[in-house]
Parts: sequence; structure tokens; C-alpha cells
Amino acid sequence: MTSFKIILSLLKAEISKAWNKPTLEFAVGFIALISITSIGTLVKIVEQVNFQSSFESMIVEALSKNMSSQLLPLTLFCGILMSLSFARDYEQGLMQTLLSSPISRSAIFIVKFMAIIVPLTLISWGLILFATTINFYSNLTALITILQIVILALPMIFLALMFYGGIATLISLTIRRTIPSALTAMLAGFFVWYITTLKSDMIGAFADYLCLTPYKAPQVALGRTLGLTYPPDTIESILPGWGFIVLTVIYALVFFIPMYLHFTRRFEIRE
Amino acid sequence: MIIGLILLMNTATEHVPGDFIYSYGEVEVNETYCYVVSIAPVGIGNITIGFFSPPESDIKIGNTPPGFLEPVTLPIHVKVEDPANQTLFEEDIISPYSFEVEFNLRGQYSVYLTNNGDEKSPIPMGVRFPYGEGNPINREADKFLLGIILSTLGMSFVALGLIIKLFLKRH
Repeated sequence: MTSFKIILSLLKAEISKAWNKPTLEFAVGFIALISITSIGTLVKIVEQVNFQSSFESMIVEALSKNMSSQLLPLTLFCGILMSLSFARDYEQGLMQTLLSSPISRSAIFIVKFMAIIVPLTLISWGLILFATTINFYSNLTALITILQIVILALPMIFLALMFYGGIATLISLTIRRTIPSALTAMLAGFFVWYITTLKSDMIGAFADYLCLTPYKAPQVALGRTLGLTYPPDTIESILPGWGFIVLTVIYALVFFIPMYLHFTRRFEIRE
Repeated sequence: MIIGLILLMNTATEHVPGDFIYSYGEVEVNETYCYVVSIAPVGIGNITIGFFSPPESDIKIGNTPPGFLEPVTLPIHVKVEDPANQTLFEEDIISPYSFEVEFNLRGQYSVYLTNNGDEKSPIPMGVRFPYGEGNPINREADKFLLGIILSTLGMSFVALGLIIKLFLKRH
């Protein structure tokens, strides 16, 4: 119980340290700007017989567009905040104090990691929910439909951010200097996004496989889960929906697990 | 305050664009067909019945495939209901026809079209708004109001916080 209290105190301290003014305000403002502007004015004419399915597809399209617009800034924020959490503590000597405390290394790593990922996920998802609700809300039935659809974005955003958090942790634990770590992590996030913008005239047939990249896989996983249709004979439509979910989970853990092992097995002391 | 200001800025600058015309199949004689217009509260717009293209479009009817964009001439009974099921318009008309409707509520406006002609026919329906040039009428009224409320509340809290902080510092 005491150790749980200590971990909770550490979590509170980490959250207040990383999300100190003006980080939280800036993150909320920037993501809100993207969320609100990515959804246009609602005007759509449909047949009454197909109304419910058309209404759901309108929400799914808006959600998919919103998540897609948010991911790049989220990766950049994730890079900066992870550097503030890990690299700055090494730089200022706070990490050494933390590691000499009775809290396990495992708890320190998970608390520091989640103190960034969870609030960022909640900010992003909350603003997606806000933007979708104010755009499509008309009655209680519509609100329930919106909630049923938007709730599925929550795990996908979390898993996507786990990947970028993992990269940023790797960079932070390697460089251990705040500014260089933040810049490198942002650059890495930007690169992961940039490769998805390449067209087939530049990279040939590889362009067909860009949906399998860490940037696109969570979006396609969400799209397939929500029943979004993709052009026939593309990887997005050929691969089953669960395939993209599995891929997203693998990406989420691909850096997280090695970094966890690196941190908890005291590799840096052996260095 | 941040979210309120962004919402206010967005709704103040974004206006509902242009024309939306849809046609789904043919309507039998005396059959009633219903379109649903999902729309934000953007104020006055025009509902067009029987037009396949905007009434004042530059498309030359003679240059298109036969009958492709020609307006449908048909006696139709039209009934428009707002999301609260209040009838906004109910008349017998001869298409092509256009009339104004005030979209004051967010939600689904039902447009019932009964073919009163002698043969089955497609009945295209559209919604038109004045084009561009920053038309301030057709913006989303509820988002604008929510933006004002959130901004005012946020500013009040900030001002209150500043006053309390200053007051506590002095005493």
C-alpha cells in the first residue's frame, strides 16, 4: 500500500513536471486547433432509408480525418515531452536521485512513460470527441452513435503514441541531453510521417506498402474496425482488419519493451 | 478559453460552401420519396427541387448528353420538416422550383417529395447557399454561441484568478 502511494506520488510529480505551464495549454490549444478546423461544416443530403448508415459513415470519415491530422503534431509533442521526462532528469541529476530511492526501476520507467502517453492520449481523444460531438450532435441517439464510434479511436491513439514514445525514450536514454534529445525525437517522428507522403512515382511499388508503416497502420486499423472502405486490390483492403490491429500492437511494443529492459536491467550502470 | 477562442475563430471564418444536389433513382407516380438533409444551423438557404445542376450555373445544357443536366418538369407535393418535426414548408409545386428555408437547428431536415405527375421520374434535390466572399450569414450559429460562451467563461476565470492572486499577494 505504501509503495502504491509512493508510485502515485511519483506519477503526480511526473505529470505536474512534464505538463507544467505552458506545455499543457500549448498542447491543448494546438491539438484543439487541428481538431476543430479538420471537421468542416455539416451539410449532407442522404436518402431517408439509408440515413443511419450514412450518418455513421459521416462520423467515421470525420473521425478518421481528425485522427490523421492530429498524429503528426502528437508525435512531435511526444518527442519533446519524453525528452523532458527522461533526458532532462539525467541532465539535471534528478534521475540518479530517483534511482537511489526505494521505488523499483520498473515502476519509475512505467510511471515516467505513462505520465506522457496517457495525458497526451486523453487530450487528443477528448478533443476529437468534442469536435465530433459539436459537429454531429442533434439528439441523444446521435450522441450515443458518436460515442460508440469515437471510443474506438482511444486505444488506437494510445498504441500509436506508444510507438513514438518508445522512439523518443530510446533517443532520450541514448543522448541524455534535453534539447538534442527533443530535436532528434521530433526529427524521427517527422521522418516516420514523411515516408508516408511519398508517392509511387518516387518509390515505385513500395508506395503500396506505406499503409504498413507505424504512422499509417493505426489509422487503417481504426478505419477497418469502423468499416471504412478502401480502394479494392490495395493492401488496406486485402489485409484483414485484425492484421492492422496486430501490427499496431507490435509497433507499440517494438521500442517500449527493449527500452523497459534497458532501463530495468541497469545497462547504463554497466556502461 | 483556448478552445472557446479557437472555436469562435473557426466558426467566424468558415462558411457553408456552395451547392449540394443529389438524386437517387426514380420516383413512381403518387409515390413519396424522402431525402434527409443533415445540416448545421447555418441560417437561410435554398432548397432546389428538380435541378440537376445549380440554377445559374454556366453549364450549357445543349452541350451535355441529352437529358443529362436538364431540369425535371413535374408536379410535386413538397413537405419540409425540421429536426423538431415542425413543418417549415408544404406546397404543391411544379419543378424546377426553389424556395428558402431557414436552417436554425442542427440535425436532420426531412424533405418529402410526392410525384404527382403521370409517369415515374427522378426528382433531384439540392441545397444552395450564397457563394463565397465571406458571407457572414451562413456560419454555424450554435458553434459560434458555444465559442462565445467558452471564451467568456475562460476569460472570466483568468481574470478572477489574476485578481485573487494579486489580492492574496498584497494581503
